[in-house]
Amino acid sequence: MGDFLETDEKMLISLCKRGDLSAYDRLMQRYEKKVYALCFRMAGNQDDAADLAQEAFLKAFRALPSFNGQAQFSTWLYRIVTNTCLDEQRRQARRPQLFSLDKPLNTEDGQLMLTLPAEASDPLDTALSQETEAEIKTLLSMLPASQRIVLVLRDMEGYSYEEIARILNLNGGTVKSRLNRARARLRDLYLKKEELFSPTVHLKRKEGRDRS
Amino acid sequence: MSCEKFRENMAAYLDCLLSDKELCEFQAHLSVCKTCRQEAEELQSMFSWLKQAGDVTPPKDLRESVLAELKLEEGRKVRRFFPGFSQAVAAAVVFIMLVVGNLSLLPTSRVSDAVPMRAAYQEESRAATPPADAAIYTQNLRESEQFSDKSELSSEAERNTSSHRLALNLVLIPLFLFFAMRFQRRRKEAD
Repeated sequence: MGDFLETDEKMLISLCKRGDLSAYDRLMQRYEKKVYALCFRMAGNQDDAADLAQEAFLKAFRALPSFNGQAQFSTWLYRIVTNTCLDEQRRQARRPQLFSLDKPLNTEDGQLMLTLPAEASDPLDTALSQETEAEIKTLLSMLPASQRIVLVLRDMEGYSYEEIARILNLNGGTVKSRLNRARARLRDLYLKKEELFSPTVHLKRKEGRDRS
Repeated sequence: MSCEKFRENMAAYLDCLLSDKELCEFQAHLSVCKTCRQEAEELQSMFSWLKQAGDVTPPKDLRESVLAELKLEEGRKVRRFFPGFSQAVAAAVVFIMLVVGNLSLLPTSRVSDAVPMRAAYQEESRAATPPADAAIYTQNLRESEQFSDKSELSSEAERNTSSHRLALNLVLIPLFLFFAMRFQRRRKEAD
């Protein structure tokens, strides 16, 4: 089965190299979930993630003629994806920060998470999981991009150390030490999260009560 | 084992990648060092928090929008495979304008071209025609008279069209040469 998929993939790739877009559609179908997940964890919001994923797939198609099959296609593709994400982070770091609803706003009194009223009436459990989801996004966004990418690849998307090393073009030792640092940093943030989030939680609850 | 060395192995420990020997050492340190034990526990609890992150589903139109963009690019690609494509097109357009322009100004100008020729022919035949060919000679003469009548009538229009043609050629020929040279340069650059 695995062999079949692999030869099938090779065929799809050679079709894509000749410019066959329907073959590329099938190839994208196989990887879109993982590619998008990676972009989403790096960007922290759906719109940016969709843009990043689209850009990465475009870059990959343009670069396909130079793909020689020495590396695994998935590794090659994820390298393009991670580079796209890291480039975007760098670009954003250079640009003056825009006011975003998806990221915490740094104020003198600490960070403020801005929330819009939820679209549907949320049952308690989805509200809780959404809160966790928002926390994860926020804390991840506080890690430096080079650490975040390693942590996302390993702890959220489950890639092996070897794969991560190949994707990011690092040696195994660097991956390990960067992962250690990223985890330690995230743990610090995680332990402080009550502190980080408490003012906004109050704000949210108060607002919710006012509205209902 | 020092705490520092211990921390280096933390990632491998959490990912269950330590060898049996390393694991034994690691666990031995954990049992004696409270700080490191606490750190390992905190990391574990962070992991379970992180595990709560839900699945993400890519937007439905992701692939569609990629394909739409690639289709757009395909048109542009022609230029990449054919360097100087736009210059060639421009030169071809100018050339067609040149041909069409000259042809459309041709019908009257043919007459003006023909007049001097007629005159020359008249001279020639007047000098060299033997009397036996008198009939043909007069016929020729009559024909040429008709021609010159016509040309007198339209001489004003003729002058107009020929100056138009001159202007057309003066503008379009250098333009054509310009594009042709740019095309050639682009091809050379591509090689």
